[in-house]
This record gives sequence, C-alpha cells and structure tokens, in this order.
Amino acid sequence: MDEVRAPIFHIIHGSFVDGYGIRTTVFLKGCPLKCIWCCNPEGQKFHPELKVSAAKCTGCGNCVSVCPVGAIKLETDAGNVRLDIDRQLCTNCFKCIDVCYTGALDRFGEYYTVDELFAVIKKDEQFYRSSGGGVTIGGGEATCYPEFVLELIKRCKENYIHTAIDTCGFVTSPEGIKALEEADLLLFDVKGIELAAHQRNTGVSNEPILQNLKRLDAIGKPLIIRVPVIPGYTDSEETLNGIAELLGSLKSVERVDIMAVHEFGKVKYAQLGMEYKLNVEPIPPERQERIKALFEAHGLNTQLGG
Amino acid sequence: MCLNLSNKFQKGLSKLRGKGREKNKVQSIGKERIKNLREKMLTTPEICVERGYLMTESYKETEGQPEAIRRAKALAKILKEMTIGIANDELIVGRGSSKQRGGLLTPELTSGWYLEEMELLSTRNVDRFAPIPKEAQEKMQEFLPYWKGKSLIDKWTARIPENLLKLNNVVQGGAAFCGNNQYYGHSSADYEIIINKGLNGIKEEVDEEIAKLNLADVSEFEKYQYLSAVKITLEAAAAFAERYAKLAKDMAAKETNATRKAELELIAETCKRVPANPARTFYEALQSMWITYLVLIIEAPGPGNGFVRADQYLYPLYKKDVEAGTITPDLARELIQLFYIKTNGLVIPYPTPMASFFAGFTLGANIVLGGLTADGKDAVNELSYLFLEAEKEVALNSEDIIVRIHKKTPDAFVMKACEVAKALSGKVKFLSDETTIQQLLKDGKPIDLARCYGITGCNSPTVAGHSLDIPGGMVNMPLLLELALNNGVSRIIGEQVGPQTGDARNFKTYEELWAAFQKQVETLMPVALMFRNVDKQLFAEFAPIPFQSSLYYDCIKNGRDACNGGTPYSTYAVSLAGTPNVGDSLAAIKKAVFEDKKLTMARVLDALAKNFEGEEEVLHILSSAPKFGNDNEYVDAIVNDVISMASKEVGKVKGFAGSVSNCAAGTVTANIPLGFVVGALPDGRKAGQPIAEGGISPHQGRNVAGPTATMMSVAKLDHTKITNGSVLNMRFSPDALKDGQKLRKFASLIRTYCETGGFLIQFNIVSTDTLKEAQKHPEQYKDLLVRVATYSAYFVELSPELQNDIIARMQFEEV
Repeated sequence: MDEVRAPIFHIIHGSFVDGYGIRTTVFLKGCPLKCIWCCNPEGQKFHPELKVSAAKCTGCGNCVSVCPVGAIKLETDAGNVRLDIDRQLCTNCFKCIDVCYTGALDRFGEYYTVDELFAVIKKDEQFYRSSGGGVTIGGGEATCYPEFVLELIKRCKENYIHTAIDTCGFVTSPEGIKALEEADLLLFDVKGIELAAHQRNTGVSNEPILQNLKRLDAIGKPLIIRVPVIPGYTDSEETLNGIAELLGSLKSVERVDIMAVHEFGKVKYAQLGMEYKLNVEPIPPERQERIKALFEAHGLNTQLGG
Repeated sequence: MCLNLSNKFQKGLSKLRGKGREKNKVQSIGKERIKNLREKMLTTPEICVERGYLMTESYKETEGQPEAIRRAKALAKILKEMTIGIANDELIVGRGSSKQRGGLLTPELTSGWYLEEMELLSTRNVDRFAPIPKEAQEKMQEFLPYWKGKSLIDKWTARIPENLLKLNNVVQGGAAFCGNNQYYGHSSADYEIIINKGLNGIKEEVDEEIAKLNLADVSEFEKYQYLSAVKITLEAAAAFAERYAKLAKDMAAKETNATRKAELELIAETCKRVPANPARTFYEALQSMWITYLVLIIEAPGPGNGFVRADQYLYPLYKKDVEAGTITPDLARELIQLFYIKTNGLVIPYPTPMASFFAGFTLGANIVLGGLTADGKDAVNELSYLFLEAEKEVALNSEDIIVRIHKKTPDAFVMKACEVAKALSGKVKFLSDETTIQQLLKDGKPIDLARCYGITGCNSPTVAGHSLDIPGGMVNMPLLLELALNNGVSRIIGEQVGPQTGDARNFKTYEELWAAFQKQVETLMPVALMFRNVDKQLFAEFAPIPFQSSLYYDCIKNGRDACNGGTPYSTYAVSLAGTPNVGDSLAAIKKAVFEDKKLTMARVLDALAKNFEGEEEVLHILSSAPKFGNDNEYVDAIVNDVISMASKEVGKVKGFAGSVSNCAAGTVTANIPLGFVVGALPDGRKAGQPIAEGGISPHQGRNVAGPTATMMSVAKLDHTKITNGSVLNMRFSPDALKDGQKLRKFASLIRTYCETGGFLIQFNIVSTDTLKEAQKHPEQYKDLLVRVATYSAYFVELSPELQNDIIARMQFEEV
C-alpha cells in the first residue's frame, strides 16, 4: 500500500482547549521525547499497542489460547486471576482483542489515511466556522509523520480549515520543520532552558527545540507556548524565569499557557505496562497565579491551562 | 362584592387611583426578601385537600347541569372558598393551595389511588410528600369515593376496547393524561390578552357574542351554554382577586410596621384593579398574570403551562414605567424574581407508577426569551436580559427559562444565557429558531405566527393565544423492535402483544427485519393514537377549560373550548421514546449479522433470550457496532429512518377535533419505567435497564466522540418529522467551562447546534463527584438542580434509579 498512513490514538470532536475556538484534536502516535510527566504515554511508541484494563478481566482465558507467541498468561494471585502480558514477546497482532468480550483488552492506535482522517475532521467544519476553531494535530509528535501531516494541512487549507500543530519542538528533519511552517498556528512546548535538566526530564537535548522556536518566531509563525510546571522538575524559579525571559524576547508569541501538573495520565501507564515514576503534589492555585504573574511581568499574555 | 360594580364605575375608580399611583408604586424589594421567600420553596410539598373537596361538593350540587357549567361552577366554588393567604415579604400575592408548596387533588381525573397511596405518598422513593395529617386523611376518605366510576380514567377505561387495554403503559406510557392524573397543561394562553383587556374586557366580548346568538339554533344554543360557563369563570377569577384585595386591606389595617403597611395597601389596590382591568404598570401586569395563572392551574392542574414570551408582551409597560421613572431595571429584575418564586408553590401529586414517568415535582412555568419578532427582526430587548439575570438568584425548579437562538440573536445575549446556565448547573434551555419555525410551518401555521412561537411544557412549540399544542404518551419504540424480533411476543410479559411478523431467525436480510419492525409500528401506533384520542374526547366532554379558553383567540367567537377545537390551530402528538436504542440495535444487527456476518440471527436471538448471560461474545460484537451520538452516518441514518417511518404513521390520521396529529421524541423520565418492560436489546442494553433518555439524546454513556459529534448526530435528524419537539441532553463538567474564553466556546457550540438543524438543547453542568456527594449527603444539596427530561428538578428529590441514570450520562470534560 503506497498511500501514506499514520497511527492515530485519539480524536476529540469539540475540544475547548488545544488552540483557538472549538477544535477537533487528533493525536498521532509516536514521540521522540519520553517526558517523566508525560500524560499521554500511549503516544510515545510509534506503533499501535495493547491496552490492558486489568479490572475488566474475568479470567476467561480466551486471549491465552489465541496468542500466537504465548505472550499472555493468567496468573492466580490469592484467588484472583491476574492477566500477565509479556510486552517483549507481544507482537501487537491484536488477535487477543477480538476474543476479549469484557473490554479488558483493547488497542491504542488505528491507522488512518489522510482521506479518512480529513473526512472525520470535516464533520466539525460548522463549529470551526462559528468559533474561529479548526483542527489541532497533536500526539505524540505529529511532525514524526511529516508527509502525512503536510498532506493533511494541505487538504485543510484547500477547505479553509484552520490548522494547528501541537509540537514538542524536537524536530530535526527538514520535512518536519516544513510541516511546522505550514501550520497556521503552533502550540509549542517549552520544557526547560537548562540542557542537562532537559535531557534528564525528557530524554533529549533542548538545543534543536530552542533553535526551532527562535527560527519559527523569526518568520512570524503565530505561537502559543505551553509550559509544563512539574514540581521538582521544571518549577524552579530559575527555570521559570529563564523560560519567561526567553519568551519575552520573542515577537510571535500570542499566548503562554501554564500547564500545571496533573495525574490524568496515570491510569494509562498501567494499561501499557509502563512504570509511572512521577510522584508530586498538585500545585496550589495561589502558586499557579504567581507563576502566571511572573510570565505576565515579561509582557506575555498568559493563562492557566490550555 | 365589588364584582358587581358597573364598568363605568370601575373606570372612574381606576382614574381616581391612577392619580395616586406615583407614591403607591413598589418602593424596594431587596435581596434579603428574595432569599427568604426562596427558602420557603425548598420544603417537602404537602397535600392540600381543598381543591378536591370543594370540587366534589360543587359536583354534588350541580348534578344534571351541562358539563361546562358544572366545571365553571366548581371552579367558582373553589376560588370562593379555598384558604387564601399573604405571606410576610410577599408583594406578588395569590396561592393555589392552602400550603406553602402544595399538591392539588384532582379526583375528577383519578380518585381511587389517593386512598390507596395515602400512606405511601410520604414514603415512596419518588416525588415524596409530607405525611398527610389525620384530619385531611379523614376528609379524603369522605369525599373521594364520590368519584368512583365518575373519574375520567374510569370513563377512559370503560371506552377502550377490552382486548387493547392491556397494551396501556406497555406499548405506550402515559397515553391517557387523565390516567396520569394530569390535565393536558401546555397552556399557551396569551397573557397579553389579560394585561391589555382584563377580565372585564373579555367578559364584554363574551356578552357581545351571547347577544348575537339565536337560541333556537341547536349549535348556537350549545355556544350559549358554553359562553355562560366562560362568564361564570371570569367573574369567579375577578372575585378571587377581590378576596386578596380585601385580605391585604385587613392586614394593612392591623400592620404596625409602616413600610409593610404601605406594601399591603399597594397589594390591596393592585388586586382590586387586576386582573379585572387592564394593567397599567409592570408590577400590575405581573400581579395580573399571576392570579390569572393560578386560576388557570386550579381549573386544570397540569404540567408545562407557559407564560411564553413574557419579555415581549411585558416590554411596553416596562418601557413606559422606566420612562416615567417609576421603575428601575433593578426593581424590575427583583419583581421578576418574586414572580419566579411564586411559580414554585404548586405541584401535582402523581400516582406512584406515573410519578416515575414525570418525576421531579415541577409544573414547569415556561418563559421564552428572545428570538424574532413577527416581522422577522431580532426580538431581544432589555427585559430579555432582566428575565435571564433574575433567574441567577432564584434557581428553583419550576420557572423554566428557554432562550431562542437565531442568527440575528446578539452574542451578548447568548453569552448572558450561557453564564446563567453555568451558574445554575445547566438550567437554561436553548432552542433553534430556524428549526422550530420550520416545524410550525410544516404543521400549518403562517410565518408571522411561527416567528412568534414559544415553548410550553418540555419541548412543545406553540403560538401563544393561537394554538394549543399538546404532547402525548410515550410510545415504547424499543419494545416494538423487540416484538419484531420475537414474532410479536413481549419477552418480559410473555404475551402476544403485537402481530406475528415471523420468526426472526429466518430473516435473511436487513430489509426483512425492517419490514417486520414497520409492521409492528403500523399495527400498534394506531392503538397508541386511539388511546390518545379517547383521552382528548373525554376531556372535551367532561373536563373543558372555559377560563383558560378565554385567553385564546377565537374560543369565545367560536363558542368552543380550547380542548375541543376552539383555537385557530391545534396539534396533538405522541412521543417516540427510545428511538436511539432502536437505531443502535438495528445498526448492530445490520452490521454484525447481514454485513460482517460475524453473527447469525439465531445467535443474536438466543443471546437476547438469555439476556446475554454467558453470551459475552455476542454482546461484545453487538456493542462494538456504531452507536448514535458519535456523528456516525451508518447508525444516524437508521435513527432518522425510524423517526420518519413512525412519524408518517402518526400523521396518517387526524387528531381529535380536527387537529394535526404529530410526533415528539421525548421520554420525560419514562425512559426508566419504559425500560422495565423491554428485554435485552441488540444494542447491548440488558433487560429492564433504562432506555435512552430525552427521545433523541444518545443512550447514556454511548456518545464518546466529543460534544460536537453528539450535536451533529442529533442536528442531522429531520426535525420536521418530530414537530412537537425533542430534547438533547448533554452533561458538561463545570471545569470545561471555567473561564470566559471557554464559555465563549460553549456559546458558539450552542449557536452552531441551533444554526445547523438542531432543535432544543440543554445541559447538566455538574460534575460526577458533586452528584455522588449529593447522593451521600442529600441534606447539603437541597437546592442542587439537575435537568431531568426537559425540566429541572432537585437532584435529592429523585429516585435512586433516576439519580444513577443522570450520573451515567456522558460527561464532557476538559481534555
């Protein structure tokens, strides 16, 4: 099949966040970063994955018998049946899903062609029109599928649908950068100034990120900057000041969104068999207000949340 | 009594009073007063026996007289003898019962159940009343037996062919209003008539009509009888207000507080003047409307009697007062608040089975705001805003605010409505002008009237004064599908309910299944229509509403009651309940059996018979098929097919008294009891579980693709097939609307829904956590409002089943 496809793990019709107006947000699967606080861990790997909701498992054993590689075992644990999946062995063939009738086994990620995805996006066209909304292409990191994203943006433009890319900024391919340039708006994450900390927190250097940010700013690309505030990781006065200072020096930043830590993603780690490493307290509203003020002091239009 | 004063003298009197009215205006109201009066409505309702008792006494006295006259005399006796009272702090006065929040008895509709449920009323888990005191119980035991065999439901039961009676509340729930223990309600009486003409003005018209009649002509003689009844009620209503004038005067004489004394004097003056005469001020108009409404309700206690477009017809007086400097917007807002609070003083006790159909204790006094003028201009005015703002601090369950949305509606007004909706956990209905006007045109109303439409009850489009548009019982559409799948036999009842449409195991195509379903609809819909029509026939014969009729155009000229074809336009509907379940079920079979061939009909039917016990695979496959509410054309188109087909059946016959027979898609709260009689469905719903609520709202929890997808699924339906209206209920987390920017998006969401073919939409803006907390600590959440059906109810007053049903609805979060 030579048609371009990308794995999508979620589509939200009618998002009030993720950019201006009412938006349809599509999440492409796969990301070069592995942020400790990542709230969409199902967006990290580049292929569809098994989603396991252990509480729904009744221990019927259907999945065990169809797994071609013997990756699934049912362990009896103090009288309770427990599903044990060897993710190393699992080839993500998803045969087990077809025979799981309780919904304990499901998948994260379905492949879409541009045509298929555009048809889904177009359904909400009338809401974009009235609200100044459009489509937001997020993930994961959408620019990992530059061909797909460029074609999608083209289709949207032909239909006068506003496009935004929600990006981590770690984009090194020329096509990926082109995709960022083509979008009408970028939701651009800034997760730190200091290189070593950034490397520790996200697994990658922030050099290409900051470079892209400055370049896109220079060409006048409208930017909404998203700053995750994670206690102990990105919330030192120094880090926040540094980010605010940098953003204050840019000219295309339309808004800064302060994204306070939350734990909505926690359940998905268990579903993916991943370890959840974050252990932090929520940020009190007063502190969030102070952080907002800090950014505003640099002349930035700032809001709490996306 | 002053009632007999000549018109001339009345006019002279009002002139005299007119001079003094500068200083006799309402001085101030204040938040404290509103708070106090509001608090009083948050009490458990009590049964008031007076209406029932006085009605009975009167009927005993009038045996043998024409029915309309008996009705009129009964109303007159009630108004003359019922307990009246003016509470501290009240400025708008008049009570419909002897209690703070009183339940009226209507033994002329159903009587036996009151005696059977006398104890149960205070212990049942739905619509609970305070225990009935012993003396009241004794009184009830004394007068209720009179109605045995005379109540309308007894007559209804006697008229329905015996072999079809068992289908009542199975095929259709709440078909006979008389059996529900409710009058039709849904009054679209035009209060402009009472404000501008007063009772005396209407009476003059009645006299003029009577003077024209030739009593030798049989039909004209009938008119004479009817108009005589109207006249009795008009005089009775004026005398009722007069009683209040006297009471206020007496109270004023004894009052030591100078401020309150002046207020009581003002009340006395006002009730002396209105509703007998035209209202001259905004305040007089509200008082006039209130007494009129009370009389209308006492005559015919029923749900959803509308004040309809109050921001339009009250505007001229409001403007005049503002210009004269006798009122400020603040004062007007507070008066509106007093008015709203008053609408909460009456409830209807329903027999327990029916209470689960219409749970929540609301009379639903509809106030419709904004929209278009008769000539198609934006109708929003200052009063539209005041009516909205007023509701922010009242937020009780009966006053029902409906905001009309047209392309011309100012954003500021839509935003104000969203703000109020958010503050009230959702309690504002939004309605598409474009769709509603199309519906009214389809049912034969001319464009200038259609533009002036209002809503009564849950969702019935109507034109005040010109049209009576009454919803109907709820046809259990999922049951009809079950019959098609089970050769006409109901799984739960185990009896042959519908025609034998063949063993579904042998169906080879989707079309065969559809044909069987259509056959069930074609056979059973006429039964539902017959149930409805007999009910209407009985109301027209034995329970006419002469007082209410005088507030419509043409009833006096025609000498005919509003419920007997007296109004220029009328429609009687039946409601389609659970259509989304039918659509989801048909789509699941179409896909899994006939297209993907993953299942056979036999396997599906076996699984249904077993309520999916041990049939997890079948359940899984069926549940995975497309579901309504996700903007999925595959299933949405089927839902539309079902609506179109059923609507066509309903429209094949005329309604009672030449009315249009049309459809609504609604359930009120009957989605729970209707679910009791339906076995497992191919959409994955298990036996006895609730069916989809609201008529066209997606089945609870199935709309997972996001709010715009839900809206588009509903907006794409052909709403001209359900011209009596429908409801889309959506639940938002309050967090999703937390700031001005998000509220703006919410407003655009609503606008787009209304401008792209949607009809009525309403929201519950309350988090799952809050609802669960309220279940645990009801005492702390006494005034937590939720939308059930299309009205608002106090969450803590609902049955646990209904509470859980609301929690199960899809909640859209900020994501």
